[in-house]
Amino acid sequence: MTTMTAKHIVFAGLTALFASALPAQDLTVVKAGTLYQGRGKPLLKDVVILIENGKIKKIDKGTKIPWNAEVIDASKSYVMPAWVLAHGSGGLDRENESIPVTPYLTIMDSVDPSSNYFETARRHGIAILHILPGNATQVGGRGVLLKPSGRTPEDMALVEKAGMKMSLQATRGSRSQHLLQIEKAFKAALDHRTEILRQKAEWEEDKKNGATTVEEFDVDKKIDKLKKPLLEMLDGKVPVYLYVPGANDVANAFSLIEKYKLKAVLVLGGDCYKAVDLVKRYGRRNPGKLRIILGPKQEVVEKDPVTQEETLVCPAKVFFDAGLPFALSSTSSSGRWGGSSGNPALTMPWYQVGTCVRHGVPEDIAIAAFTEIPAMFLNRAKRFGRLEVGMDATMQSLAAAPMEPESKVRMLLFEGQIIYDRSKDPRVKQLTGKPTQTR
Amino acid sequence: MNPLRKPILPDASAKSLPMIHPHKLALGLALGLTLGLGASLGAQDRLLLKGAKVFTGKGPFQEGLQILVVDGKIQKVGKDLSAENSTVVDVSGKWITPGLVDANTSLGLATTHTNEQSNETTPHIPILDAIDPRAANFKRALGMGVTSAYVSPGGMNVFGGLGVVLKTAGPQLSERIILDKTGLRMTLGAMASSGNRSFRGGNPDSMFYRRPTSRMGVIWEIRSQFYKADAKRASGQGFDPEKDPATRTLIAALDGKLTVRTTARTDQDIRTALRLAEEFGIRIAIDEGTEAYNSLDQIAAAGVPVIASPPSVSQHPDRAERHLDTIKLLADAGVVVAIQTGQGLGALPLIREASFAVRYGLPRERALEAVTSVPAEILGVSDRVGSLKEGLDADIVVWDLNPLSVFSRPESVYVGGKLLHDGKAKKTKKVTSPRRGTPRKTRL
Repeated sequence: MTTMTAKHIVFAGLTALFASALPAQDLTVVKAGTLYQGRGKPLLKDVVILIENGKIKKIDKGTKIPWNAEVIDASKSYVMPAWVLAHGSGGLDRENESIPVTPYLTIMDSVDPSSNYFETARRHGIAILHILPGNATQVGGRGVLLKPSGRTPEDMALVEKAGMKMSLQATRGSRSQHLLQIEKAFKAALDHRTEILRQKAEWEEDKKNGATTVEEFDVDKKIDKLKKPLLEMLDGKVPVYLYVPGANDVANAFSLIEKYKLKAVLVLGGDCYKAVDLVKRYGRRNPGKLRIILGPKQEVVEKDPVTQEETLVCPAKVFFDAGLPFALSSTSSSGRWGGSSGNPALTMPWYQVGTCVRHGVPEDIAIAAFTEIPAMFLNRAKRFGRLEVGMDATMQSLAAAPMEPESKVRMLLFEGQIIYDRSKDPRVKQLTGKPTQTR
Repeated sequence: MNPLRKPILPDASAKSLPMIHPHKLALGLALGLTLGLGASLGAQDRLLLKGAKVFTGKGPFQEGLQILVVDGKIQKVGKDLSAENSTVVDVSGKWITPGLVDANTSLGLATTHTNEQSNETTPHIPILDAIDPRAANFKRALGMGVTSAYVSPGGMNVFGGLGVVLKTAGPQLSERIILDKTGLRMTLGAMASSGNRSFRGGNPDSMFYRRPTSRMGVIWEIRSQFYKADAKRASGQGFDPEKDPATRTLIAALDGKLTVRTTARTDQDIRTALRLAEEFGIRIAIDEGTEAYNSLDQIAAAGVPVIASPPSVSQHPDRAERHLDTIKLLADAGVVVAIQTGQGLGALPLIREASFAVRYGLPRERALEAVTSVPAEILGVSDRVGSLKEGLDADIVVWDLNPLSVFSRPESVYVGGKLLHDGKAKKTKKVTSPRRGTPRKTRL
């Protein structure tokens, strides 16, 4: 048995001290053949992206590659920001609870990390997802902002209690009844707080009059836990993601937002594009507050009931023509390869972007609608959605520009870490090439 | 304007002809003839498309090719063609393909009218009788460059009936038909028996208490029908082809005069289809063939073409499991393969499906062939459509970009030399709010 001398102890102590004082640098270098940084930036050829601790430190042609950096060779790839999904309901056990007003629910309790939805998201280059309850609700609960990689919901979560989901889609009874129920829930929460505050005032009055009390009156503790999330939303502490199913609900949505001063992100589905004038006027009245996420269907067939003539409408183009910023979204189905309802193409951001461009939305605007604009809505514009010095190294490398027919995601990085590598994707191996044996 | 509702103008130049007062007609005609108007009227049926990159149906896009159309037919495809007496359309910077051919659709069919379920074998029933030529999906298909389509009976019967190849637009349905009573639909797998119930005591109260009720029952029904038809053909007695069209149809299939469009999705059904083809000497084409990646060599050896499932679709009937690159694998194995949008599969427009096939490994040229010349060959209509060559119908699509780009749109679609879809003259619909004024505040 050896004994440790005082010299050894001092040396070991100093080593440990320095090791803790100087954090280990995590250096990664991405050699990009073509780099698309974001709207307004020129395409760069043959550049090096230096990543330090998940952040982009340098983007340059002549950057010297540090000896201790991990090098990702994307010199024959097209590198661009990863897609950001601001509103989705995939990767869950079930999207909606059967009770219509459930503000206390949290998606964290339902996220299934092994769901195909997240696997598909990675394969399609989506690195940030805001997963919320579905649309068949009144007040559905809190969403979670996550990355589509991790063994547990905790591993995946970036913000565990993100936006609150609300929907104006009347699933039981009429639309007016649906609105009434929402307001009733609001009123019940507000009345409850008023009552607690009244009790506190009474308690203080009693105390002033000399009453003896065992403990202090803590309003926060007295508030019903089931109502608290709703009160946080009504206080503007939590943004509400309000699903509006059709044009005739848009006015109701604005009434609700203005009456209760909600900090809202509108999720516009169906034929909401018909209410574009209304949306525009609201935007003028509330500068900087209008946040729109468009539903996944970017080609809507309108049929004239008399002549049967059909017109194809692209909602994104309608909002673009109106000068309104918007984010795009994709379908949330968790089917075997990306979709159990509708065509799987609607789960693919490149297809959504391509559809908008086909209808006349400029390409950089359409790409921004799936990168920097949703990042802005999620208050993460300084981290995701663009590739600039100081931002997170959350990017994808593709075989070609995303809308080219031969394009496919080769690699997906989240904060400099590889979370998808197509060459190691077991599903791609399983679903391509000649099978080694029949089923 | 809906081309199905209004008479088709002779050509674009006719639109600009002024109204002529009847009293001045004779004088006008005489003057016109004198001034050589006759020559310019002759030019109405001559059209020269020039300046675009051209895909003729095979091979790569070629620069500098011009297409001369006379009386609705392609007279010549070549360089430096004479524009004399022709309406010249300069499509410089554009991309031209033949009108697309969709080898399996349910265009013009109401969903309830695709299956005749009074019997599980209805080989002789022509689907043409159920087609609504004014159906909106024809116009939608035309707007995406599809000018010819095979319309198939539904797949709920063992033998579903006879399909038809027709144009997606034109003046009358009768004039749109390219080939009628072609392709006998035969469905393998679970679908053809899915509506039937087996009899297990009690009183059968529905016609669906009948065979077949299983996959093997379906195959037996096929064999049984072919045996009966063969026996009638062999005996020559008691069989009047005029009075027994079902048997007549099956005999045509046994004689190899009629392609049996065999819907087979799973590997086991594909192998069964190949076995049946060999057993009865029938000429088959495999429809959908979702799991064809398992039997590439067998399909290639049998020389059977495959009209493949749309590659963008993930979930298929019969729980068939797709491979992303099945179409590429089939092409690599030497199988003649076309792409279809299919019936009720939720496919994208045909050109987007071709684009998906490219995304999953098929070379671009092969993808375009799989939606033009190859389906035309499989359908037996390559002497009319599917390619841009002399003597074929002038079914031409002018695209704004490479058609396989997700951004591409058909700018002009010509059917029989007539411009029946003008994508440039896109209707701009003013989208207005259904409610005016500020949001109501009183209600809440």
